[in-house]
Amino acid sequence: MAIDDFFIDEDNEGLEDKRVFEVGDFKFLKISDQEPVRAELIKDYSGLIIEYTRQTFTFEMIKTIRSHDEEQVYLMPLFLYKSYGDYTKDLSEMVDGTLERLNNLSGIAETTDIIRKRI
Amino acid sequence: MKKINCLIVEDDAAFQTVAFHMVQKADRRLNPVGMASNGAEAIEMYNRYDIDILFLDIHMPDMSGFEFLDEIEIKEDMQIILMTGDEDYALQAFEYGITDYLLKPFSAIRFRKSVSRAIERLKSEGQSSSTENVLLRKALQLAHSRNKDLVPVPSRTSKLGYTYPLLTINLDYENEFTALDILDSAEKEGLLTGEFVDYIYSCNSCYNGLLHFRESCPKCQSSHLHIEDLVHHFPCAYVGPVSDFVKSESSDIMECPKCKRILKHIGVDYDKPSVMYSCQQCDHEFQDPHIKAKCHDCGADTRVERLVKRKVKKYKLTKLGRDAATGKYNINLKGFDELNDIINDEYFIRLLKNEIGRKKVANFDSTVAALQFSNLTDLYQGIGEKGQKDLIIELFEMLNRELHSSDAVIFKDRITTLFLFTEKGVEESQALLAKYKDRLAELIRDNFDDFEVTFEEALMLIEEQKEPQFHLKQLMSSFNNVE
Repeated sequence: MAIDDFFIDEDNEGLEDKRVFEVGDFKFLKISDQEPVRAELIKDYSGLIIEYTRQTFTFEMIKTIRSHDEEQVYLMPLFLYKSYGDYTKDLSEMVDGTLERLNNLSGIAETTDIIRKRI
Repeated sequence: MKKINCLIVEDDAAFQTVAFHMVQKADRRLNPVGMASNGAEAIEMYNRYDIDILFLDIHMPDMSGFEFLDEIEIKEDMQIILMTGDEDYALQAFEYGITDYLLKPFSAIRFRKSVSRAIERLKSEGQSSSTENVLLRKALQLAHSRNKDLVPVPSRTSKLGYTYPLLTINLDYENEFTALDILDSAEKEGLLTGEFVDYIYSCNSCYNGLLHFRESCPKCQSSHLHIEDLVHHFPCAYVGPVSDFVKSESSDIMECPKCKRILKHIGVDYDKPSVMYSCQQCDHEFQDPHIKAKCHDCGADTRVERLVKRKVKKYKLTKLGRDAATGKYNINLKGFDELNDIINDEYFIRLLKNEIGRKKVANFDSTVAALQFSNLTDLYQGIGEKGQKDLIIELFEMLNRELHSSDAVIFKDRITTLFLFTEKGVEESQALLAKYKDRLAELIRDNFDDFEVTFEEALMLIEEQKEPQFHLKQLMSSFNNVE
C-alpha cells in the first residue's frame, strides 16, 4: 500500500488551526482517517500524532509510515492518541508513546528530542 | 552470491587465453561470458551481457581502454581491473575509479588478490541494498534511535504467532518468517545479541504458526479415530478394550469376557493402563497414533516431528549494531540463498570444459557421472522447504568431505548430483560412486526414520571432441525424466 493512500492530494491550507501543535521548537501534526493530509507534508513536522479511531486504519497508517523508503518518514516519531482505552501490545510497540489528552504535549516533545538526537 | 559475469578485453591472443584461465581458476563464482580483442567487439559484448567485472587492456587497435570506458554506460557497481604493460596510466585510472591496476606481467597470486578485492567491493556495493540488509538497517535504526531492544510480541494476527514490531512491520504477512532469518543472521554477524524467549513450531511448507493438532492413523493418516480405554483384569490377566467388558449399553457393570467375573474397583482388581485407537477409515487398531498438524494457511498436514522449530529471542544491539544503525558500518548479511552455490550446473560445465581442455593436451581418462535420488521427492513432501534446503546442504557438505581433492560435485537440481572424476577411469569412478551412494543412503536413513533412498546413476568417459553440454545431456538422458 502506498503512503498516498492515506494522505490525500489536497491543499492543506488551514492546517495550522486544529491539527498542528507547537511545543517549543517542535511541531506535531495530528492525523486520522477523518483528517488526511498530503504525503510530502508530514516530513516538515517533528512528529505525528495519530488519532486512534479504528484498529485497522491505525495499524495500516503506522505500517505505511514505518515501511516507507525514506528515512525522514520511517524514523518519524509517532504517537497514538485516544481519550480512553488500551492499545494492543504490538501496536504500542510500533510507536513512541501514547497520549490521552492534547493539552499537555511536553512528554512527547521530550521523547521526540531524545529520538532526534539519536538519529 | 550469484555468478559474477566477467568480460575480458585484450587484443593479445596469447594473453587473452592466459587471462581466461586465470579468471576460471581465481574464484568459482566468476563466469567469463566473453572475450573481446578490440574496442568494437568489447562494446557489443558489454551491451549484450550484464557485466560485473571488466578485465580491460589499455592498448587496443581501434581505441584505448579509456576511450572504451567513455563509450559505454558504466554500471554503478561494476568493478574494472586494468591490465597493461605501461605504468603511465595510474593517475588516469584513478580518475576513472578503477578497482585495480595490474602491470603485465603479473603473477597468479597478484591476479587472485585483485579479483578478491573486486568481489568484495562488488558484494559490499551490491548486497548492501538487498532486501534483508535494507530491512535490518531500518530495524536497527529504529531500535537505536528509540534506545529499544528488538522484542518479540505475541500476536494472533501474525503468521508466526510472534511479531517483532520494528522489523515485521516491513514484511508482508506471507514473508513474516523472514524476520527470524534476518535476526539470526544479524546475531551471527555480531550486530545483535539474542536472549531466549520461547520456541515456536510452524508449518514446514509456508511457516505459518496457526496449526491444528490432532491424532491420526499411522496407516491411512485419517484423523477419524475412535478412542477407547484398555482394561487389564488382574485375576485372569486379560487385557482388552473397555467395550469387551461392557455387558450392555444401558448398564455400567463390566464383566471380564475371559473369566466372566464382574469387575469391582479400579486399582484393586483391574486398571486402565493405556488407550486403544481404532481408525474409522481403515479399521486399523493401534496404541501410538501419529500426531499431525494441519496448517490453516496452506493446508499442509505434517507430522509434528517435521514442523519447523525455531527459537524466538529478544535481541539487543551490539556496538557493531549501533554503528550499523548510524551508518558507520555497512551491513552485509550472509546465509540467504544458500543453495545458489550448491545447485549450479553452470559451474560444473565450466569445470568440465577445463577438463576437456586438459584432455586435449594429455593422455588420460576422466569421467563424469550423474546420480539421481529416485524417490527423494517422497521425503521432500513431508519435510517442507526448509527441511529440503537443510538436507541438500548436509548431503553436499558430506560429499565434499568424502570427495578426492581433484574431483568435484555439484547439484544439478534438488534430486540430481553431478560428479567429475579427474584422471579416473570407469572402474575406479564406479567404485567411488558406489561408496558415495552408501554414505548418502546412510545419512538419509539416520536422519529420516529409516527412509530408504533409491538411486539411478549414469557414468561416462569424457570425450575431448565433445562439448560439456553433450556430456550432461547424455547423462541426463539415462534417467526417466529426460530433459
